[in-house]
Amino acid sequence: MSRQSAISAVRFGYGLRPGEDAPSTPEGIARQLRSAKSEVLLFPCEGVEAVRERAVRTFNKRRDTRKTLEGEPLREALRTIRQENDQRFRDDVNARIAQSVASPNGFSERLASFWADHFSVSFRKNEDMRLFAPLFEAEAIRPNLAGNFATLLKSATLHPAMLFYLDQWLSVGPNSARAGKRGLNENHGRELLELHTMGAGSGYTQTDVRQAAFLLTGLTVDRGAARTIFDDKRAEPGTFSILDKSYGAERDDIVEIETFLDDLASRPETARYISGKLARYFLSEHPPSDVVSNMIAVWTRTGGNLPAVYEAMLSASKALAMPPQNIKQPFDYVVSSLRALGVDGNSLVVDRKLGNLVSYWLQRLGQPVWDPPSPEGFESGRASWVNGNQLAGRIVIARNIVRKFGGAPDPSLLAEHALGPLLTENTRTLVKRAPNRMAAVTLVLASPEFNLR
Amino acid sequence: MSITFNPTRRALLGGACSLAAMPLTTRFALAEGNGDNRFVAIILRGAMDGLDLVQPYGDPAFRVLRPELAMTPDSGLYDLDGYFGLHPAARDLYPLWRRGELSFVHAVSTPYRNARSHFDGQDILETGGNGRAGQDGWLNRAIGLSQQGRLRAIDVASESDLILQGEQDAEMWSPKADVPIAADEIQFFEALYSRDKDFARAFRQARSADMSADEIFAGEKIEASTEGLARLAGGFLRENYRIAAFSINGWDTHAGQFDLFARSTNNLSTAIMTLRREMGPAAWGKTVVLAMTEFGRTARQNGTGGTDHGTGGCAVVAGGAFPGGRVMGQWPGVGDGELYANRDLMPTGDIREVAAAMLYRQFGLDAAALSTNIFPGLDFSASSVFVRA
Repeated sequence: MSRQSAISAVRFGYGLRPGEDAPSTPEGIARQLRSAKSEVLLFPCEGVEAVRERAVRTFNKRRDTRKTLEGEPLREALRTIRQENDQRFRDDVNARIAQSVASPNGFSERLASFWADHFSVSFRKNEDMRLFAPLFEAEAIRPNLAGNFATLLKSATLHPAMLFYLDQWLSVGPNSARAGKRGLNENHGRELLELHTMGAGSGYTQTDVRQAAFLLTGLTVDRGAARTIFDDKRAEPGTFSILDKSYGAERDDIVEIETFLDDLASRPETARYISGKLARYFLSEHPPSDVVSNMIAVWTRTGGNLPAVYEAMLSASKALAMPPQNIKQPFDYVVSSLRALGVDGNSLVVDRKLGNLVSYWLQRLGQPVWDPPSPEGFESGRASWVNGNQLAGRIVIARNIVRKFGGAPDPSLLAEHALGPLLTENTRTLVKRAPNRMAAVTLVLASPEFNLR
Repeated sequence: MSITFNPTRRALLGGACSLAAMPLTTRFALAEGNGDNRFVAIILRGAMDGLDLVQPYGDPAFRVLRPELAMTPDSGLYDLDGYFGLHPAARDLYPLWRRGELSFVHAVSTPYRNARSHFDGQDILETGGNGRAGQDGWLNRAIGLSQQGRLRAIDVASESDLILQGEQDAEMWSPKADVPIAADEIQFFEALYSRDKDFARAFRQARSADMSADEIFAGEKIEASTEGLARLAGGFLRENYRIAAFSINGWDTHAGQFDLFARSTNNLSTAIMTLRREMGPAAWGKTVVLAMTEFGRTARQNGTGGTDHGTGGCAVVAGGAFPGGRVMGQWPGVGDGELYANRDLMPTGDIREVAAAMLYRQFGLDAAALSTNIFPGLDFSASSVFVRA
């Protein structure tokens, strides 16, 4: 295995399975974006359409139940609905992990994680988010991660999951027809500027935040249809000036909001903020500045064409040459460990107990699926994930992984397959000397080089 | 006490200016030679609404700003001083107030103004003013500067808090952590991490905190709840740890604040009461707990029964080592023209001054170091109102 290929596997993918080889060129990595399109997604387990139908059914059932029952029978019936919803959600979580374990298109998988984290939503926000969080990734993020940023931004911003998560669905214009008890909520307006596009401190003001919040009024969720709608009775009338441009003259549909999102997507601050974030995520916490400025230039030239921006990152000479340095996040750690041991992703879906166990490991390490700590997503730096508590957790889980999925017949061979030229002499020697197979494999998975990318 | 709010004279009083008349002798001795003091930092993540926790019910303007959220002693608020009242979800803390083991500092914030990003706000709060660029936390920098020598510190969390990250060794543990590593394996792991200083340090921390946890809790399982975190922190502090930090999430109350805030406040009460119980009277008597948040929230409730990101906030000071039972700070009022940007509680004090004063009181840290190294740009002196309190 070449060094480029080993680096490409860990830096731009979820690591190697035994017998698998990773692309050794930027073109090879980028090709995964195309081949990912023909993959059948493992989640949501029932498929996107069926989950949407179930969301509608669940909503109606809950509404009817509330009308017909009361007291303990009502609570009991609601509990049953909730439990079924919970169970299906846990299955989707397991399938989400299985997806990354199984997919041969590691770069596309990593991008899906990146963008789902960039546009964070959490299943905890309300009961319906157990349906909408998996849908969000499956229909708003994944189909758009190899297109134009503006398209991705619009699909994420306008998805019911985001409207729930950032309280947008409740926001009502204070001078709208629906004003009264309810009014404006500026959460979504703020995160749109701060986290999703321009970035904190990039020059927008509190007035811009507030004006954006006014413009977004009207966006809400029709639970009965499980979709986003524009309710002009909630929309604040008038025009709104955001970053020196006026919006809202035509306030009876979503078009003005989409125009605003297109404008945000094409701002230079957005190009800078997201290019830098991509480079930090994939390359290094301190990415080479020439690579980032090249990504920004490509972004500007192509109007935010994401594959072109990715290619600018991949084709930098350092991309496949710099030694691994970023710490793997817990999700990456667990997924790459399972891949190194040759675990069949489907087993996490077929065997619910096994899937639940792996989900629990992610929770234990601080990165449960679809449950980021805040709209900013998960921490990514070395300081957050290299510490006593985390390392202790990884050692324990490495052991459990080996216990559950079997130690490799030959731990030294496993080390060579998983790390190739990245395996250090130090680790190689220790693995050989370990008192037993299980200890030896644990040492591979717990080694610094396996935890870096 | 002249530094307690006197709302009728608040334009004149409050804060440092009223202290001129106070005798210079203070009720606390410098921590020199006293190696027994403790300090706990609790980060309330998501911007805790100080105006909900400690409500200025004596100001009629308050009810106008918050028709659904404002309470009075008649509707459940615990009266503090005839002007401020404590949210009913904090009722467990009320006995501490009466006993002089609890105070509040109102209208404080970091130097962070008018941007209202949680994440930047938290970074500035935890780095002591540097933001993320600083990369290390003020409590970490404080560890090595004590006249008592290096203070043993523990972060109880599943992800480490920036406030304790940095060059100084701070251990980290969570209720879920447990590394049963056999003695004969330890040398393997030590060798495994010997070539990478970050991993080597992390492994040392894991071993050290694990042994302590085993000693303190004798193998008992601690739950991964706020109560569990507080138990862990309390247990470590009862023994030979002097500094602890942890976080309580859930304060970002944009919608439906009434229930959300009560839940988080209940968590905060549980955390403080659990610390006190777990530490026992001797250690608690030498402890200051400082709970702080990245910024306050809008003075007006918003259209969805919540509040949005604001500026001036409120800090909670508990423990037996600080004479409590007071609402401190310079109260700016919430009437017309008194709000910051016509929307937030006006910040009149720097939360970092409160933190600096607690470090000074507890560990005798050098005032100059507190103004430069630990809290860059803070003008801290030993005559701070929070030192003389």
